[in-house]
Amino acid sequence: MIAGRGPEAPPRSPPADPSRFDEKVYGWLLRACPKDFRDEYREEMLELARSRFARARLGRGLTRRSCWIELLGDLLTTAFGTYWDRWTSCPPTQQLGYEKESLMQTLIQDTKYALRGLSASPGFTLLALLLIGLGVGVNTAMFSIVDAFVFKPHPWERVDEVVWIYQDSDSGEPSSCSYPAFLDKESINRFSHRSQP
Amino acid sequence: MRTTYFHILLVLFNGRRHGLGIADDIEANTRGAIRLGPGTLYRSLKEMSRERLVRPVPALPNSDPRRKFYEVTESGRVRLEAEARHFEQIVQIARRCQVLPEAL
Repeated sequence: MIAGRGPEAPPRSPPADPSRFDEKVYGWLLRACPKDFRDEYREEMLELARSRFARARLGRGLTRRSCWIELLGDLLTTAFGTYWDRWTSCPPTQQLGYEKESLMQTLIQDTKYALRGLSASPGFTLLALLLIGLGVGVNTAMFSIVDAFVFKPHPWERVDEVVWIYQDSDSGEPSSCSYPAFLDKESINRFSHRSQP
Repeated sequence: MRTTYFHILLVLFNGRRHGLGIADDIEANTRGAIRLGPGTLYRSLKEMSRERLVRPVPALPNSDPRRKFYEVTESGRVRLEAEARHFEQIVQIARRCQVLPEAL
């Protein structure tokens, strides 16, 4: 019998270049920066990031993870910094109309301005919302744990007298005790206490 | 002056460079202690252009035309020299106080 070869496997595509993927993700994350800044420096920022990813791939003083940590930190600082610079470089009367407008009008104007700014940079908005959500979630969890273990008093008195009650199972092993079984034990205990001289 | 500005001006003092070249030179000058991210670098260059410490110049021949080159302005040179002298004075004081060893 001649062993025949099965149907040939489809040609495998070459493995995707991870630095190319990293570059695409970084390019998308650049949306966090203001549009004019992005338009002016996008290509050059991508070139610098590409060079870092290439170094990480070749293992020249960088790993892919450390590269991403540095780039994300840099991107967040830049995005917040450029928006902050823009805000602080506005003349004070444009920032808040203390003299001419009421506080409520100013608040409405600021809210509209903020919403326009956020809608103009959806990437930045998404990143900010994710970070805020993560921050609030972690904070709430930590507070709940600390509150339960440190601040709140025990829900019962005389904690040192609290005991765990077991009852024997059919096989003789200690097992959990149901409430009716507990009541039975309690009545027997009372009876035995009363019957003692 | 911000540390980033100082290092950028130091690199540009000896001639025009593009962004990637500036970042690489700073990393080499500081032996890897300072590695500027893309955002920090180009935000600094934008600010420094506004403060007239550096200015964009035409690309060098035989270089990628998409790259923007920068050079230090006269005002940038003056600020850099003043800042370097300031650091020099601090080093001298540190030597007199024996914080640093005497220069050979």
